[in-house]
Amino acid sequence: MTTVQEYDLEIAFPEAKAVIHFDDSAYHGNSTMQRVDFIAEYEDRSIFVEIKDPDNPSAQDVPAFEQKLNSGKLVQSLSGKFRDTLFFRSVQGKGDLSVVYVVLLSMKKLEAALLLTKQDDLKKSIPIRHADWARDCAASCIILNIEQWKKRFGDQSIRRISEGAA
Amino acid sequence: MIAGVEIENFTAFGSLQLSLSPRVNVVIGSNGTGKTHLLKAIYGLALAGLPPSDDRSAKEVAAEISRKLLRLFSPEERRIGTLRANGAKAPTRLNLVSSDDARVAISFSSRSQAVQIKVDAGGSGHELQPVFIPTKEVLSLVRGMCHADHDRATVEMIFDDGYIDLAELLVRPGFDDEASSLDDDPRLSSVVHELVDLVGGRYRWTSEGAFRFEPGRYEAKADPARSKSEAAQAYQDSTVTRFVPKGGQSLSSGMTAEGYRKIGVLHRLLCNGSINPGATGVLLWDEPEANLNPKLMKKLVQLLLELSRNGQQIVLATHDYVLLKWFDLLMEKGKEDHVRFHVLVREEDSEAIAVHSTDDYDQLVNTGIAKTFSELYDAEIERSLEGVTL
Repeated sequence: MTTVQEYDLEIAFPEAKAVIHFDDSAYHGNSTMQRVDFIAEYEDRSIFVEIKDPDNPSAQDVPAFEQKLNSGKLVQSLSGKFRDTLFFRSVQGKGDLSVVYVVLLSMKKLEAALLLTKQDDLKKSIPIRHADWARDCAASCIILNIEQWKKRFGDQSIRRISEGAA
Repeated sequence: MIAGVEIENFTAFGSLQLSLSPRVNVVIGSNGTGKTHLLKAIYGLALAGLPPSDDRSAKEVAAEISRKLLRLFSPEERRIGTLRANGAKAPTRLNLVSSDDARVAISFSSRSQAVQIKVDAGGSGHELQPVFIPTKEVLSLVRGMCHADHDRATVEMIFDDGYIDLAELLVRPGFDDEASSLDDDPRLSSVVHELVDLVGGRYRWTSEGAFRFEPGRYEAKADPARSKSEAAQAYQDSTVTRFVPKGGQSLSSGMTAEGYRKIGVLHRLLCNGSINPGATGVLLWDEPEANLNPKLMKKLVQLLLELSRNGQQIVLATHDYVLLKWFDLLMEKGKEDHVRFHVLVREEDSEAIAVHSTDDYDQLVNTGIAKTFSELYDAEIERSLEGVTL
């Protein structure tokens, strides 16, 4: 099973063929390409995973993050990462896989209504669909908090390292 | 100010005790948990606490309040006993306690002809005139309700007194033409101006006995009655604020958006002094969100907070997440804002209605309103990640 770590979070991908740590400066050199944190590859699809963890106990400057969230800059950055990563994969010859974009946003105080709004904004910002496209550029796109992540993928699928056992 | 309300064996309620914030109170709860009944009960109690006119006996006052309660709640049978809770054995009691310890108590039993009222004026006196704004918009209905040829019985069959009382408040003369009385209280005039800006004009009572919408806005202009040197000394005092109509014809109120008319109601009540913090009583507003464009909600909440800062006690009932959230986001503790949320729930075992009050928005996670969005979010995730595993 592949397990990856992003600062204080550990995420398991039990069924993935491979999980690429995509946001790696050494790999991308001086390119200004924006990239998602991880790409998990499966037979028939790939999952782009971007992690935002302001609830990390050692997170720096949470107010700045909130400002980014409220001003719409966060959604803009999340959509940019998706587009650039999709471009990279397409040139790489892996563009024929169906893509699911999952953003993990650990922010307990964000209510469902606000998460839903941000998610709708993200879909429009990317955009997932265009009148002149033959197909959607992603099979789906979702923003999950940790609670929803566990509900969806199981309690063992994610753990906060500073809190110890899963 | 109303400090607390106690209800026993009345309509949907078994036993309910409520401690009100002197500023803003927001009542939430699913349909059928008695939000509107609670607002009307407070309204009825506040009316019963008004100082009686000299020429009426206690018996006449009791009969009138009984009639008022029947007219507010409109039960099918016009008998006060029908307003008792189903199956109640003990008498029905409604109590209101003011912050100055004045008390109003209404009681009746199944066979009462009329309610009993006990008013203990306490330290400084009686309740002040309350205002109840019902769910549906009233501005466009006023013409029919107050027309010289109207048939009172028919109007009363259609509308309960929540509507009729408001219509009567709306037609009280307002200052409308002169800005002078407004400038007496600059805090309130800013609220009035912003309400007008919000909908792009004002509703005016016309000589034809109806409200018409007049597009325009308030603008400050130099006072022509003052000399330039005087004006330079005291700019504040040297301007007059007047309503400046903006081209276009006035519209009958029925031709304007219903959400605008709801804003218009608040505007009118402020302009004719029906809402005057300190001089008038509690403002009870049932579902301000009904027919209101959610975009107007932020401003409306700001204005309600502004009224409360000027000493207006407010009790709202709502189903609306947007309204709740704006109160959470816009209240400023530094400005001594205070919002108390009262959640009405039907207890699963006893079916009785209970109230949970909190000053902390974060405690509201389990309300129906928050759950609705959780369900939406769950459904969205389900659709997006159908068949996806890690």
